[in-house]
Amino acid sequence: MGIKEIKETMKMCRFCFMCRHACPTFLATKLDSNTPRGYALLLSAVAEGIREWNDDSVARFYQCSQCGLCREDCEFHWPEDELVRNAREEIVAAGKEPKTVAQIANSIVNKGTPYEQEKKWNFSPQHMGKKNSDVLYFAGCSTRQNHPEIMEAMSTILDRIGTSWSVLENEGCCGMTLFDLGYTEDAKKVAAKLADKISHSGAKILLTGCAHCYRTFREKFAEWGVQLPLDIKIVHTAEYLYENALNGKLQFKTDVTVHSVSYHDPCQLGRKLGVYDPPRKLIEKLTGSSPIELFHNRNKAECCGAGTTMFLTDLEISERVAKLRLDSAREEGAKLIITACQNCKTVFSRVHQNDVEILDIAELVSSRL
Amino acid sequence: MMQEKTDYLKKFLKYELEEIVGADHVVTDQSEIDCQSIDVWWVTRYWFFKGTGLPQPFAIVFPGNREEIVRLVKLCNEHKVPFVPRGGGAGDSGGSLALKGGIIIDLKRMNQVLELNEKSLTVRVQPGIIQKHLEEYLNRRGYTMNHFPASFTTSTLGGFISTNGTGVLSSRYGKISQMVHQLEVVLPNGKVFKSLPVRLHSTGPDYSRLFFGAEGTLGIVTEALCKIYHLPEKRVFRSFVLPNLSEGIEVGRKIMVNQLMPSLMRLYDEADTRHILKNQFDLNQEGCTLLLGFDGLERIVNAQMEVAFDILTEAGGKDIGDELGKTWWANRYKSYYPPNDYICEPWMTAVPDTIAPYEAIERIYWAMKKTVEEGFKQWGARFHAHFSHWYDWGTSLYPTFLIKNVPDDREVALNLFNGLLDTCERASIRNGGVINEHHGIGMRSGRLMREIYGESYDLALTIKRALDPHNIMNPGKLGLGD
Repeated sequence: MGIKEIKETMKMCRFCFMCRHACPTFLATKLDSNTPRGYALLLSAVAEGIREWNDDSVARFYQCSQCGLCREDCEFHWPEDELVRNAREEIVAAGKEPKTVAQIANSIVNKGTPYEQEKKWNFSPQHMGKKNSDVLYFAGCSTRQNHPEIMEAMSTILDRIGTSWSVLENEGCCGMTLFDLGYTEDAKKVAAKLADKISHSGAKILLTGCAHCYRTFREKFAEWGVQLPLDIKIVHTAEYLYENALNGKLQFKTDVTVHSVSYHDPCQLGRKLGVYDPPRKLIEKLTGSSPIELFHNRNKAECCGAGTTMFLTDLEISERVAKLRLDSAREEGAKLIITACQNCKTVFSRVHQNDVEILDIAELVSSRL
Repeated sequence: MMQEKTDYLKKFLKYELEEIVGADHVVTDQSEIDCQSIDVWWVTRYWFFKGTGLPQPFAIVFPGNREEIVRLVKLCNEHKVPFVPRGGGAGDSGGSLALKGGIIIDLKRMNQVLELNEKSLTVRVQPGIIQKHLEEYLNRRGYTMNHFPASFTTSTLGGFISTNGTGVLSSRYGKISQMVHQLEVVLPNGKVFKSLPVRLHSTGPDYSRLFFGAEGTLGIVTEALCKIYHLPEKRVFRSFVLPNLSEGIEVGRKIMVNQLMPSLMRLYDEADTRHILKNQFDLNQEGCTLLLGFDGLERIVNAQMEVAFDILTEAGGKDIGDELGKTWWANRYKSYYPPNDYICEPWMTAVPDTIAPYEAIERIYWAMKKTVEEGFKQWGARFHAHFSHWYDWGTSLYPTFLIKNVPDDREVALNLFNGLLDTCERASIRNGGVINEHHGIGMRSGRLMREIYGESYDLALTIKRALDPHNIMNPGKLGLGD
C-alpha cells in the first residue's frame, strides 16, 4: 500500500469513532489512543508537525493487534491495520522503536527467530532436509518454539497419510514479524533467503500450520518480489487435513464423542485470507457436529490477543484481549476451543482457567487417528 | 479555583488519584490526552489542528466502581480540581471537553450488565457500556432496547443519558429518558442519589429527571435500570414521495395524532431528498421523501401500515415501495463512516437540531434555511434538513449547515462558526422552537441558555450552586457559569 493511500486513510479515520466497539486493544485498555481513530489522529498530529514521536505515542502503535477487525467493521473498509504498520515503518526509520521491538527484529535478522534461545527441532532425521518430497512441512518460528505438540501431531498425521514429507534443516523466518514491526526491507531479505531454501527443497507442496507464514507465502512474497517455484502448492494444515479427510487418506475413530466444541477463527487465516469453512467441516467430520459458533465469528471474529506481534511486544494487553475472547467462548458454552494458528493457542493457553481446553486443529485430528 | 497546578502539586494529586483507582487506571500521557480532547464538534477538530492550545485535562482517571467515583469526587472537592465525567466522548458540542483543565473521569471500565429482569423486561447496567455491546447482549437473549442513535457503535449508555439522546426509532420508543426507569448518580458533593425503582410515581417529583441532559454538570451516572423489549415479530418499511415539505409535515402530523405508532418516520426536505436518494440509492427524485416503518406483533404492524397507507395516499403521496426503507435500515450507520465528508473534510459544519410543536416547525425550517443561505451567501453556506423524531404534539428538525471554504484566519473562522450557529438557533427560538433535540448544549450553545429560558434559568443556576458550590463538575458547560 502506498503512502497516498495511507495519507487518505489517516484523513478519513482521524475523526471517526464508529469502529471503536470492535477494537480488541481498546476493549482491553479503554484508551481512546488505542482505537483506530486514535492511531489516525496521533499519526496525523505527527505528520502535521503538532506533535513529535515520544515513548507513549510510539508504544500505542505497537499495542495495536493489527487484527483488521476495524477494517472489516468499517462500511468502507479503510485499512487502519496498514496505517498502523506504515506508522511503525516511520517510527523504525526515525530510530524511535521500543527496545523490545528492536531486540526482536535483531534476533530475527541474526538468528531467524524472535525468541532469544531457540529450542531444538524434534523431527526424525529422515525428514530433515530431505529433497524432492511431496510435502515440505514448515512449522514456523512460534510453533518451533512454543508448540512441539503441534509438530508431533503433524508428524503423526503425515506418516499416517503415507506421503513423503520433509522439513527444512534450518527454517529461519518468513519475514512477516519483521514486516509487521515496521522493518520492511529486512523482512524482504529474510523472506528471500527462505524462498531460496524452499526452492532448493524441490517439494511439491508447501504446508504450514502458521496462519501468519501462510499469509506471507500466499500474499506477501509476491508483493515483496520474492519468488517461490511457480508449481509449488501453498496449503494451510486446516485445508490439507480436510482434503485428506475427504479423499479417505485420513480415517478417524468414531468411538469418541466430544461435546461443546467451538472454533476460533485466526485473524490471518480467516479475515485476511478468507479460509473459514475447511476447519469447520473438518471439525464436523471429527466430532459429528458443527462447531458452536461464537457470537462474533468468521470475518467478524475478535482477535485472540496474539495479534501479529502483540503477544511478543505487549504481553499484558495480549492476555487481556485473550481473556475477553475466552469469556465470549464461555458464554456460548464452549468447553473445547479449536484454532488453526499456534499463536492463538499460545495466548489462550496462557490465560485459560482449565474450564476450557485449547487445541490446534492438527492435534484434534491426530487424537482421532 | 485553582486552574493551573504546579508540577509539584500535580504529582501529589496524581499520587492521590492512584491511591483511589490504582496506578494502572490513571493516565497522564499526551497521546491519550490529545485523543480525549477532540470530539465531533467542528471547533475541537479545527482548534487542535490549528495548534491553538486546546484546553486539556492533566490526567484521565478510569474508576472501576461507584465507591471509587465517590472518593474521586470528594478528592476533587478537597483540592478544588475541576473534573469532567466522560463516556464515549463522541458528542458534537464540546460537552466532555476539559475546558478548565483538571481531570477526566472516564466511565468506560464500568461496562457491566448487572441484572436482566425477564418478567418486567428491564436491564440494570453500568454507564460505561457501549450501546452496541448492550444491544448485542440483549439480542443474544431475544431482547432489544430499541435505542439506535447514530453513535450506537461507539457511545456509552451514560453518555446518552447525559445528553438525553434520541435514537432513530424514537417516534415509538422515545428518548433515553423514557427508556430509563431508575438512575443512580454520584452528586458533585460526593453523595449518592438513587431514584425510586419505578418509572412513574407520585412520591414527590421524579428527581432523576434532573440528570437527563445535564451533561455531567450535576452528577455522574453510575447505574441505570433500562426498559427492554422482545425482538419484534415483524418489521416493515414503506417509502413515499410527497409533493412538498408542507404536505410531508402534515402527513407526519396526521399519522402521529391518529395515534399510529411508527417506529421509524423520516421526512427529508427537497435538498436532502436529492442528496440522499442520489448518493445512496442512485435515484433521481424530486419532492420530499418519507420513510416509514412499523415493528412489533405482525397483526398490529399490518393494521397500522394499512391506516398509514390511506393517510399517505390521500395526501398525494407516491408509493415508492419498501426497498428504500429496507436499504436505509440495513445501512443506517453507513453515512457516518468515512468518507463522511462532514467529518473528514475540513468543512465548517454543525447540526443545530431543534424541536417544536406542529404549528411552528415548518416556520422554523424556512427561517433557518433563509438565515443560512441568504445571511451567509458570501461564504457559500448550504443548508439541508430532515425530520426524524415525531410525537403526537410536534416533531424535531435536524438541519445541517455547511461552509466548504473555511477562512484561513482562525479568529475569523471561529467567529463565523459561532455567528452562523447563533443565527440558526435564534431563528428557531424566535419562531417558537426549542434548541436542541438530542445533540446536547455543551460548550457550543451554552451562551444561549439564558436567552432560551429567560428568568427560568435561575432555577438551574440555583440547583447547580447548591449541588456544586465550587463549580468543579464539568464547568463551563450548559451556560451554568465559569
